[in-house]
Amino acid sequence: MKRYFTVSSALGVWTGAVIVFLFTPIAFLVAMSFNDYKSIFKWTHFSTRWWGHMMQNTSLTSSVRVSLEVAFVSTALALILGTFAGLALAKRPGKWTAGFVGIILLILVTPEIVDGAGQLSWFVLLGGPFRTGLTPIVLVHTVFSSAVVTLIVRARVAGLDERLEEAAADLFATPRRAFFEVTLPLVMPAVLAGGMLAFTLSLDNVVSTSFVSPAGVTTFPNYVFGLSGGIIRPEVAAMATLFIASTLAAVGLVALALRRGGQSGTEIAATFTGN
Amino acid sequence: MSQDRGSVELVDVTKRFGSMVAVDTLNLDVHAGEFLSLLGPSGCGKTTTLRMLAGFEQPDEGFIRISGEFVQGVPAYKRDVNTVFQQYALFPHMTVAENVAYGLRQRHVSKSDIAARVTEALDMVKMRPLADRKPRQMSGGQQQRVALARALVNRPSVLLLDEPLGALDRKLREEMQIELKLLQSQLGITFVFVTHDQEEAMGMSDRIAIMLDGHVEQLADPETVYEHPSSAFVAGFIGRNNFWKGVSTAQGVHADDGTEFVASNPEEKVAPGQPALAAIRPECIHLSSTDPGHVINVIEGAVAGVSHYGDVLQYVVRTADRDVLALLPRQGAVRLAPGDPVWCHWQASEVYQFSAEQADLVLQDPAAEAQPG
Ligand SMILES: Nc1ncnc2c1ncn2[C@@H]1O[C@H](COP(=O)(O)OP(=O)(O)OP(=O)(O)O)[C@@H](O)[C@H]1O
Ligand SMILES: [Mg+2]
Repeated sequence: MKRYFTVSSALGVWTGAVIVFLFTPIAFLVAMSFNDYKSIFKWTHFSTRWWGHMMQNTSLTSSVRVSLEVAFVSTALALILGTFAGLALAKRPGKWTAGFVGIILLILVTPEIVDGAGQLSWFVLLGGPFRTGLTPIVLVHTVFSSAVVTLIVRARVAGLDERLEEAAADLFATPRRAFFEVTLPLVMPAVLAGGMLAFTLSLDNVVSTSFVSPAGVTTFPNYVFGLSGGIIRPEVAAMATLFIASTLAAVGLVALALRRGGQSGTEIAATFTGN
Repeated sequence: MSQDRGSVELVDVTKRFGSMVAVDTLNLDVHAGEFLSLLGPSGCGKTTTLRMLAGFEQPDEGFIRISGEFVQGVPAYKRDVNTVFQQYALFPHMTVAENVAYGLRQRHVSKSDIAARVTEALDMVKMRPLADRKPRQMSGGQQQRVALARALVNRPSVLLLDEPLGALDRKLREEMQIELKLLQSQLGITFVFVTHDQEEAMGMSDRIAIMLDGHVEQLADPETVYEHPSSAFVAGFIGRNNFWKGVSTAQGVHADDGTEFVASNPEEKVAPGQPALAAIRPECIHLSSTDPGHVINVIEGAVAGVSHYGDVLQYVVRTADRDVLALLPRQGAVRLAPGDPVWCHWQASEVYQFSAEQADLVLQDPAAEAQPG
């Protein structure tokens, strides 16, 4: 008995330590957005002035706009491509599947620096729209996002009971209605989770984005990365805090949608972790 | 046409999966409104047959008629047939009521009619109080009832059931057997019921199709398949049987172990001198502790074991070459202890005689298999 308590309290302490280790940097960043000093590397006293500055810094706000636009468009494209690719992989496996999965894995494991360089040289060759505006960034993000969505959707569809579609057909549903009323709602959690991941990956991306970004187009992470002299002002921390808050809100909304759709807590957790 | 509603006919139907023949020139006639069971060992093609009726598989050869109409190439969603799946296959994202309403919605039944019919169907299976639950919030038995309501609410001409009671515990299964049978006779819908449980088939069916290796071995009512099995396989599959291998004689079978079987109506299809099987049901064997004094329809042995099953006693009698199973009603049964000498004997009217074709299928007694030749 006694031994059990020691082990379990040791585990508790360990868990706490891991959480502290993981979340201290985030907490630090949030705190620093309320710093009065001009850098996040030194705390003076509490102030909200940088939250005001944040909105006036046009290069910061425009980089955020670029990031959001790219994230929305590339996520939408990735969801369309990835959902259908995932469905096809799970439902109509054939000789092509191994090769296709191979390509997807290749996309995910290739170092970004290689990807970025390759994509840049390809875009330079094509020129025109591939060297201006958001197009090149959206394309690059769509490539890896759709690979992620494909894998998540495939796992979910493969786990679906095939009998359910037969049951729908047995109850007079045309293949089209069976798809929209039975298959799609059941695959939806994976689509949502894939979309979330795609969106975050897009917001996060630095390396390949910096390769293909046309002159004058900067995403938020690349803006932060390129700040001169490495001085990061609390307005950046404020923007980052905003990002964290909206990400949490988005996760919450997706979890809510899944719960509405009849998923249990563990199933939702499994969806988010890709199982 | 209308008096055909609910009839099913399969003619020379063959279905292959690659080189594997799952259903082999199967012929079957199901009368409108009857409760027909497909009974057979695992892998004999029951599910495949049912799936061809539902429209999930298309036969490679032969044809199928449902309610008198050929259904070649008619997809599942256009067939007036519903299925109760083995694992129920309820839609997990819909409530019980939505599951039951699904088929009616596809057929564009009006909203008020749907509500009324769903309520009626849920009442029928006593599931109305759970109408708003999701499938995963219910026990296996409750899901089973919902699956039944979801199919029956459409009033199909034929209901297909693939081992619907297989996942239930014994007590629940016995309750559901009674309810299903009752529902079927009230509704007058043709039931094609797949099972590998012979007691279930015997208890519920108007007729039983006993299947083996993708074809129908015998199609008859429960009493006939029990009393007049058309083959050794059926005799061994329905109830239990003691089999002896030997050669056919003018009156019966001369078994390899010397036992002389005389049948009151010998099987004419097995010519004398041909290899043959004799069979006696355990419940038709009488035991006596003294030599009955005749040499036909008797075999001598010693008691090897006694088991008590409620109102019957089961004796295992070890004879020279094999073990013989005997079931005696507890009332008035001779009481014998292991090791006691005993004589098994039987009436000539209880002797079954078959050709030896299916000997390998039915002779599973290790003692019998150890016999040379
Ligand atoms: N889709 C398939 N692909 C390949 N072989 C199949 C397929 N479906 C069935 N079979 C084979 O066909 C044979 C008949 O199968 P079926 O499922 O009809 O048997 P069953 O009588 O329902 O058996 P059980 O009592 O075990 O359910 C089996 O040998 C099975 O392995
Ligand atoms: Mg089966």
